[in-house]
Amino acid sequence: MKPSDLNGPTSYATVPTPLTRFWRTFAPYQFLRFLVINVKMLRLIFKSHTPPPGKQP
Amino acid sequence: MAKTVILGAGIAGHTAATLLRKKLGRGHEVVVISPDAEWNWIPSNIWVGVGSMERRDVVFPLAPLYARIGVEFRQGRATVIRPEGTDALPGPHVEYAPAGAAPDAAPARETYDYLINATGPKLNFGATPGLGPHGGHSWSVCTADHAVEAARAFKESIERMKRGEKQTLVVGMGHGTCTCEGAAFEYVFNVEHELRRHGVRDRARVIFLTNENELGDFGMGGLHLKRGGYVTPSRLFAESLFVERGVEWISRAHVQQVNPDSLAYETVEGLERELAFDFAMLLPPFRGVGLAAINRAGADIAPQLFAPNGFMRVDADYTERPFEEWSPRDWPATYQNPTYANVFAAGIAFAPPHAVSRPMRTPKGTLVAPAVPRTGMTAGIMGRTVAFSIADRIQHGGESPLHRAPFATMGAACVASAGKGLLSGTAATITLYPLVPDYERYEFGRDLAYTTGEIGLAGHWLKHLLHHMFIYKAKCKPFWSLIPE
Repeated sequence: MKPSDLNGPTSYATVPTPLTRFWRTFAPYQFLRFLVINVKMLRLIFKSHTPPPGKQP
Repeated sequence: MAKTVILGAGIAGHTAATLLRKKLGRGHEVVVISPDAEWNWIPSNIWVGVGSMERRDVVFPLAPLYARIGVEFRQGRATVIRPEGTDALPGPHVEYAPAGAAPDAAPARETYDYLINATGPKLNFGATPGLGPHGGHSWSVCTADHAVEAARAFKESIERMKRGEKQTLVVGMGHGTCTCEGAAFEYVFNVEHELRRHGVRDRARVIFLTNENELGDFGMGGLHLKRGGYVTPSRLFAESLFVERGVEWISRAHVQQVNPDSLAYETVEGLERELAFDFAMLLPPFRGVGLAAINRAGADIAPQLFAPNGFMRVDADYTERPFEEWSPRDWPATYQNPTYANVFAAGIAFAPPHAVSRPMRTPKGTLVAPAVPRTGMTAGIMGRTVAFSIADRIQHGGESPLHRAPFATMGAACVASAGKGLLSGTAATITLYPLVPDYERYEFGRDLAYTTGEIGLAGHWLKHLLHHMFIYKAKCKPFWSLIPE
């Protein structure tokens, strides 16, 4: 961030640390995240395909 | 033998057609009427629009597929629904203009027992003067052809930067009532990634112009995520990405006019500004495709079938209420038209009862209201639900209970990539449940166990996986129906 950014919108934003950026592109760790995201997606899809009980028209 | 006519062959219409064919067997007719000869996996148009994927990778011809699986295909644009028929043709039917027919040619007709309106939207570039690639001054990625044109213009911009010129690139929403902010969000980060890849990032000013209340609203009123021991709004998640990549943003904006090298916009705060650009990709607002509806007596019954925005009325509660009284219960579950029980609407073609994000107005009174996205996964689930309802009614009688997939309790997943290489670039992966916030059930409107967001290569791989998986499914290759919508 530069002094000119102070009080601008960018100075109120969260910014990833170098370590966070590293994990985002570290392939072995991301492979694990890939599995986790797939599980999350499957849970979401299952929930979306299973409507809560409601009145039939 | 019953006949189901489906208007449109996008995600909702194609899903309905393939599932109906599978459920019903060859004893019943399934007819698709679509102006497009090709099926398009629209989410990957983003990659086509920056030149990192070819048009042929995101489309395939419909006619050979439909011939193989036994679906009748009529290439043409539906114009009129006659749900009570006419004296000359008593059964319910639709009229359509076959592709290639002379403008003054008599319309073709297709009778139906059940009708699914899955036409998708009209890309309403005309809502903003100068908007759009045809006769306007901005580009679009809404269709594969639009994306190819956008990629060509983007490439020219890159070439200019390589020659030392500075360029301003504007990406976002071309009107205050646009939807699909997620698509523009993904496009801007692909643009930014490509600029880095070509080594010209320092010569480009990249600006995201949006009608969202805040970044991360996505037309869904934003969402909350559990991160680092806090429940944080998606605004922080989104702003972080913009700051990290050096992309500027203008929010709560309505584009008034697009000129050859600048655009005029106003904001909810009352600002009126001119923004010069060298390249602009601005999505249009959507409206219904303009189908007419006429009853047996020849009277216009469009107001019974369609909302004022041209989308079809279904089993939603369209009572006008203040924002504070909106409820998830207002949203539809069966997508059946309340007037004609054999007519359904799926995908973008159904009329939402209201927005999900709080509508805003500029001091001049211009409406700035992001519309809720109802594409992709939600469109597929709607197509499936309607197809199953119709199949049951054909096989087990017209009073069979309808299948339900309440729009409000669907989940949504958004994978916004930045780049296409398997080891370069990243993606923001967002899942949320339910789509319409329910503050009676959840403190933050949504279930935090299912509402997540993260950035990394993993999302990138998922985007690739989804691309191949859904095109495989759409082509009805072996075991296609095991892949969920």
